[in-house]
Amino acid sequence: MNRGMQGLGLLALVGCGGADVQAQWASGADDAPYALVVPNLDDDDGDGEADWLSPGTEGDDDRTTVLLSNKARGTTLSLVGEPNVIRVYHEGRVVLGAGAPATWALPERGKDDTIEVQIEAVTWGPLGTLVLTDDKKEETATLQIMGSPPTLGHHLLETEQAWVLTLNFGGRSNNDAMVASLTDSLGDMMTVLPGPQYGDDPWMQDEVEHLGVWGPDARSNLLLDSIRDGNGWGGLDPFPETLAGANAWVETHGSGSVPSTYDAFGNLEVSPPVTVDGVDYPLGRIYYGWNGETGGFSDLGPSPDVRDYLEGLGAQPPFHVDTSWLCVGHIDEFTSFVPDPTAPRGFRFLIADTALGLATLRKRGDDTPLMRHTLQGYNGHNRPTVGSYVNDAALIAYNEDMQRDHIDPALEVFKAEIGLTEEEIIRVPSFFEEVVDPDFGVCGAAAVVPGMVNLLMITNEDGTGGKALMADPFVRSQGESQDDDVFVQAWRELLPDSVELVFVDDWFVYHMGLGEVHCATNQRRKPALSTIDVDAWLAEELGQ
Amino acid sequence: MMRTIPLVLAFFLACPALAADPVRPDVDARALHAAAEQVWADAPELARQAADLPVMTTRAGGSRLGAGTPDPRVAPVHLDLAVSGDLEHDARLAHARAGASLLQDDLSLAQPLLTSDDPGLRGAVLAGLSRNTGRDAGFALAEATADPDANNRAIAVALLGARTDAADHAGALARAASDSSPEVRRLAVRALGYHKVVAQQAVVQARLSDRDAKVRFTALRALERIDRNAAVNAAKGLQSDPDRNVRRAASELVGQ
Repeated sequence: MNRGMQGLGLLALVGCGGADVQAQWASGADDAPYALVVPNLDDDDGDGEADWLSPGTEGDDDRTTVLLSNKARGTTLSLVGEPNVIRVYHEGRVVLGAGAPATWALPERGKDDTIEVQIEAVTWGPLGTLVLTDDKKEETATLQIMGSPPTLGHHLLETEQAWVLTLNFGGRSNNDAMVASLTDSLGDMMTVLPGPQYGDDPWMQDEVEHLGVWGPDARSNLLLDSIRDGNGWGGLDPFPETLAGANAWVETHGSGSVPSTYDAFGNLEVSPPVTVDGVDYPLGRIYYGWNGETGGFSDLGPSPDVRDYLEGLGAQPPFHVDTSWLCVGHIDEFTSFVPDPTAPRGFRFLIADTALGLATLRKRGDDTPLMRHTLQGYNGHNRPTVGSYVNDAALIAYNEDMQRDHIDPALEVFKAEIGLTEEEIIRVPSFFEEVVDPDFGVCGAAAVVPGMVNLLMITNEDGTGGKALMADPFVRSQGESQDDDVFVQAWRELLPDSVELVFVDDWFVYHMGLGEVHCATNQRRKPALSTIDVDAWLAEELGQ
Repeated sequence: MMRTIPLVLAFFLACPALAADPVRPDVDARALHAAAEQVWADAPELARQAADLPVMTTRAGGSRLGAGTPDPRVAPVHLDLAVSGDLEHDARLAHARAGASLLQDDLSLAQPLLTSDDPGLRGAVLAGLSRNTGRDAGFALAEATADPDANNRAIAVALLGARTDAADHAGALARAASDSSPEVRRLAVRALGYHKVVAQQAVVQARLSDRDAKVRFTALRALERIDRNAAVNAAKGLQSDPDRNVRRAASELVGQ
């Protein structure tokens, strides 16, 4: 769909490209027309640099076409606004904007002919206005240009592709079972990459965030590359670049900063669309964890450069939540969203609940032997029975503290920032322990019963359900099945029917490494802008 | 992989800068070496598997060994590898932790590491004792509450506080409550609260005026567990605390 241009009737810019929308305009119309243009930062011609830097790139598919209905003679097209962020092409030549004069006299045509131009942008946000002027009659038509902002994909958006690495460190330290479960469940959607090619770096989620960039004429993806490699995680650093090229580009922000755990993108999520206190967030709101609210450190969270960048995107205003109580410190360790068409706003918010975790454990007798949890040393938690959890006063007190002092206050933040109601919240059984490490002392909390809320949500096409792939909790004895597992049973009772639950064995490589299924995987979703009333959104954004 | 003590000493003497690392020359590690060699002789396959376990990195950035066969017999193999200068430091930490986690009641094989000049190795052994319920482990942790390294003191206090017999070590926890490190003080008062150590209530109450806000906050929580009425009374005075979190906790207590 291309955009037309509204004006005073004599001069016309009309939609083309087989669209069913032809710009309608009338004298004095309030609803000025807009063109949503995808920033041309991918590399369609494969020359190794962004197409914007090579004007006239062969095979470029990121320009927005506009037809000028040139019914008069003496017509000019001019650009009002920053000239260096837009180019207008005619017959392959830049006629307006960056690298060209600020005004272009349209070539003369027959009475009913149209003139085709293409608009190219380099960034997002309001970029300027094209003004078509009939010099003789002093009448004008205008078209506002909006660079399409990259947007994070929330859990109501269709999943297009997911990734995981194969990992085999020898012995039981492999993820064969998990990869098998993921590929069985997801088929071709799950791309399996060889771990050795990426330094056997397990934490796919942390390395890159896929941002969708969409306009009616074009689609790109921004691969936001984490600076976590500066923190010793270099294995997956080349991964985003392998996805770049035609229709995708890589950006890194915060390269001059010293990264912290908060710079990993397991700590970067986005809510579904919400309205809060009368303010619409049709693309959702970004959220991330930091410890700036605890007073221990004044300003430790994602790199300031990354925070500024996310804020600057403008489309999904961020908020933050205290995650300093967690050893790893990532927001995905205790919260998530799942689609639910029966919910007031089409989703449920999942949050860890330690009292429910304890109550769920207590559904089994104290003497119930626990597989996996019983393993000693580097294989498990040396918790041989259910009783070794439910009779551990200090562990229970610790979980009470985490709930009271950290999880409950975090929930209040979510309630305030995205207007959550009790009806939208599902508290999920969870249980934590305190991690100690010779490298950094007492580190904070991590899931001791595998963190099921740390899940991979594969959303179906219409955003009403899908598959949630999560850690197998293994709260059961040898020989028992997942059906016998009290945590599995609890989750099945709690989650909406539209979401199929898949419990994945992530124990040895991920759980014991302080991560779970979401941390282990990555995914790209349908661009958020493609799913909303973009005209209404543009009108709001451009202040019309 | 295996070396003898004279070779180790010769190496340290030749390289004074490294002499403190990984094991103090005055600490006799011969028993550990001998125990490890015995495992290599009796169960070479098991020893090889343990030695070959991959060193992995947790999502938090710490080092750990990959999953294998956690047979307690290989504890000396891991510990011996930890004192070996052949491995990278993170690998030595991972083996130290793994070896310690496989020890049962007798911790004597870990002594060369617990007395190492390398704080990382000492901390790794302490971390490895996290689920060791034996009495000796409790005493080792209690002793480590006086470790020169603040991180290790914090680990020791946290793990001591996580033990079911923590109240037996209330004296060590009480001393830790006046540690120079606020993190150690916080963990100590927390442990006293978790275990409702009434005998140390005065120690906990004293920390309500700690200069560190997190310690004051935790002391209030701990006192609530030990003596709720005392906590409510104390909270009245903390409602004007300079720290927002302390004020909130105090107000909640008073208001309940």
